[in-house]
Amino acid sequence: MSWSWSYAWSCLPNLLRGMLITAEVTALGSVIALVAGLFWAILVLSGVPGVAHLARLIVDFVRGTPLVVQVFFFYYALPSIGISGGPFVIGVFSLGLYGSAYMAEVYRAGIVNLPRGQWEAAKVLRLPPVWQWIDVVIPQVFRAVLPALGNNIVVMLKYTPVLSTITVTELLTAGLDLGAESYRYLEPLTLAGVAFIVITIPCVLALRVLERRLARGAA
Amino acid sequence: MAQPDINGLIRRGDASRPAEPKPESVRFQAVSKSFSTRLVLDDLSLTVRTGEKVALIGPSGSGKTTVLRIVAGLEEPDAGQVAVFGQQVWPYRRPRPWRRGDARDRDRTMRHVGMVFQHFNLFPHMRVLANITEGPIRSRGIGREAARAKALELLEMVGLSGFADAWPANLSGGQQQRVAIARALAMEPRLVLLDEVTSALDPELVGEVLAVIRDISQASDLTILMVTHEMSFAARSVDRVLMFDEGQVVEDGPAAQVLREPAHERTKRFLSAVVER
Repeated sequence: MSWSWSYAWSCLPNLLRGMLITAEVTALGSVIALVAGLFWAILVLSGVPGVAHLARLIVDFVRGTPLVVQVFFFYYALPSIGISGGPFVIGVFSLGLYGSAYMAEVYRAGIVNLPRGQWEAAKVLRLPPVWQWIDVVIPQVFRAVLPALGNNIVVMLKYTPVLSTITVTELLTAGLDLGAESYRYLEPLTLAGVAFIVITIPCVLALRVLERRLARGAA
Repeated sequence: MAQPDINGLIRRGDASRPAEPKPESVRFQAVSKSFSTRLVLDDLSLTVRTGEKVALIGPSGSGKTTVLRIVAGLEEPDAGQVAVFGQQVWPYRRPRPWRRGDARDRDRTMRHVGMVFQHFNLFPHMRVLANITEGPIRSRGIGREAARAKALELLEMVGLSGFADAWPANLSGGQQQRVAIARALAMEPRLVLLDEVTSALDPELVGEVLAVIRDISQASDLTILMVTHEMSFAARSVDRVLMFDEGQVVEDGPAAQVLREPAHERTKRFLSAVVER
C-alpha cells in the first residue's frame, strides 16, 4: 500500500471541515480559558476567606482530573440535572474550563512575581483596587506571562481530539471517519497531523508578533 | 554652610503670628511596629506641623523608612495611633458589608499624601505622561485633558518637558526619579514623603533630583518628610532633623543644631561615620 495523491486530494474537503472545527473549538476555548483563568487567579489571591479557597479547590480539581472525564461528565451527567448543550458547546466549555485551570496557575505566578513596588506605587496614588488591577497589574502580568499563555493555547489545541469522544467532528475524527470509509488510514491521518501543524504555526507566529508589540518600552 | 535665610523664606508666614502653631500634619502616638521578631518602631511619638520640612536620619534599620511607610498606609502599626491632618488613619474600622467603616474618610485624607520611592517604581508599561496622569484621572476623577495639561506643567517644572512620550526604561535614573516626583505632585499633595530618593542613583545624577526637591520645598504649606543620607543637603534645605536609633527618635531639633552641634552621643557617632564615608 503506497501513498495515493488522488485519494489524499479527495480527503481534503472533510479534513478542512474538521480543521475549521478544531480551530473554532480552540479559539473559543482559549478565550474562555484566558478570561476564566485570570478570574480564578484573582480570586485565589484575593485572600477573601471562602472565596479564595473555593477558587483554589476548583482549579486543583480541574487540573487533577483527566479532560476526558470532565468532557463525559458535562456531556452525559449534566443533562440529568437539567443542563444540556450540543457536543460543540459542551466541548468548547469543557476545553475552556480545563485550560482555565492551567492559565490560572500561569497568571498567579505572574501576579506574585510582579515587583512589590508596583503595588505600592499604585496604592500611594490611591488608585481604587479595580484600577490597580486593570491599569497597573494586569497589563504587566499579561506581558510577562504571554509566552506561557500561548504555550497553554497550543496544548489546548492538541487536546481537542478528546472531544471526538462526544462526537465533535474535529480534525482527528474527520481523519478517522475518512479512513473507516475506505480502509485507507495513511493519507487522512498524515494530513490530519499536518493540519494540526498548519494551525499551530500561525498561532505561534502571531504570539511572537504580539510579544514584540507588547515589549515596547520594556528595558 | 548654614543658610538660615532659606528657613526664613519657608517660614515667612509665621513671622507675623509667631505664637500660633500651624496645624498638625502628622502625629504618631506611642506607635510600635515589629517585623517578625525585630522591633522597628518602639513606642514612638512625634508630631510634624503643616509646612515643616523634616529630614529623618539614622542608621539603617532604625525605623525611619517604616515611619514614612506607615504614614503612606503601606505598613500597619502593631500598636499606637497615627493621625494625618488631624484625621486618625490608624487604627481604623475597615468597611464590612454590614457597615461603612472609616475607610472613606481615611481615603479622602490619604489622597493628600504623596510618596516617592528609592527605586522610583514608575509603571514601566506606561509612557511618562500616562504615569503622571494615572493618579489624577483614576483616583481624583480629573478629566483627561486637565490631567494632561497639569502633567505637562509638572514635567516642565522638573526639567523634563519634551519627555512626555518617552518610556520610563529609556530614561536615566535621575530622570525617572524626577518623573516619579512629578507623578507624586500631580496628586496635589499637602504632604510629600521622600524615601531615600537619591540612594539608588549614580552620584552624578543626585544633584538634579535634589535641585527639584529644593524647588518644591519652597512651597510654604507643603509638608515634607524625607529619609535621607544627604547630610549637606539636609543641612541646607530642611527645618528640622529627627535622628532615629533602634525605633526611637533620639534627637529632634532644627537642622543646623542637630547636624552641626548634636547633643546626643548616638547622633555624634552616626554623623561622624557618615561624613567619614
